[in-house]
Amino acid sequence: MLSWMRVTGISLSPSLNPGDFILVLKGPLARRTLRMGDIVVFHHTQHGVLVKRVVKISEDGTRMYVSGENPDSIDSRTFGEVETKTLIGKVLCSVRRPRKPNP
Amino acid sequence: MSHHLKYNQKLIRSCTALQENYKKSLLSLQEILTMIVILIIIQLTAFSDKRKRLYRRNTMLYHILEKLDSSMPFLRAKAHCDIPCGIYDPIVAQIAALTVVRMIDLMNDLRAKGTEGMDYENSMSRYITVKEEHAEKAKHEIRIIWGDYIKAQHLEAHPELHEITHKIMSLGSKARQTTDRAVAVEFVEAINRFAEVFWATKNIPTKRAKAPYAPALELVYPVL
Repeated sequence: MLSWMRVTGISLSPSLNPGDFILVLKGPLARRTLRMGDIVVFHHTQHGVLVKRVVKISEDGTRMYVSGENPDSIDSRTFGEVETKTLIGKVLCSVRRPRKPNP
Repeated sequence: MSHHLKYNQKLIRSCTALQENYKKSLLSLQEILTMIVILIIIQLTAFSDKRKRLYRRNTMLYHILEKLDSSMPFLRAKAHCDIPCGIYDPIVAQIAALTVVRMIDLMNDLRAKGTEGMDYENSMSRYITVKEEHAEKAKHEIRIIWGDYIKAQHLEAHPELHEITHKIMSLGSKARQTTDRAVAVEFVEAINRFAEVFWATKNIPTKRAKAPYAPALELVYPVL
């Protein structure tokens, strides 16, 4: 199942900026096709729904190490690995806030 | 160009219609998504100018999504960052407010000493400068905690927070405008009250203790 979500915060900047829309693939298909480098949306008990990039997946596939792209990002460096069962989905594509192209 | 404008208008109109239909629950989310994908394909093929094609497609899609988002908000995915939520501690404001009281004391001492001339003016203006800076610093620190840290759930639990913050702002200004020690002491106390609420939001108990430096006024400290 696909679903649109909207990004808040700057931890994935410049890949994703606040206000960008992301198309998220949800359900078992997302879990099965999860790869390193994917941008994922997952639920964190303390921080709520987060979007981060997967840096590492444990061998048994139950845990993933996630990171932002901004040095100030709150991610696995702060809260450790997250269980893959908290995964909501993976980002397929994004629609960025329009910026004028150079002439 | 006019062709493109017309085209854009047409798409926006169809998007609005789509939205209306959604409201009437005639279309499911899946159907809306499918239509959006079709719109992307149309967009991809509609413009021959490669340089601007991507930009146009993106702009259009973004506006469509924005419209949809305003009528049935999408789930927010937080790219959570430390910049707006790092280290917060009202102690900086408390010490700054205490400095204001200290400066007023030093100003009174200087007058009592009866020093005259340039030395007097030099010292007095230095005290005034520090008093000004620290009153503003205290206000600034409180504004940051109030604006960046305090969330709706904190305000629900501590509805007096707005009033305390506003009181700190006016007392801080008054502490700059006057040399009234009582006002400065009240400024410290208002920030102490703010600190109590701040630590309460983190479920950290507090204690009151005399500051280990002049003026030895009571400050609120977290019990860690």
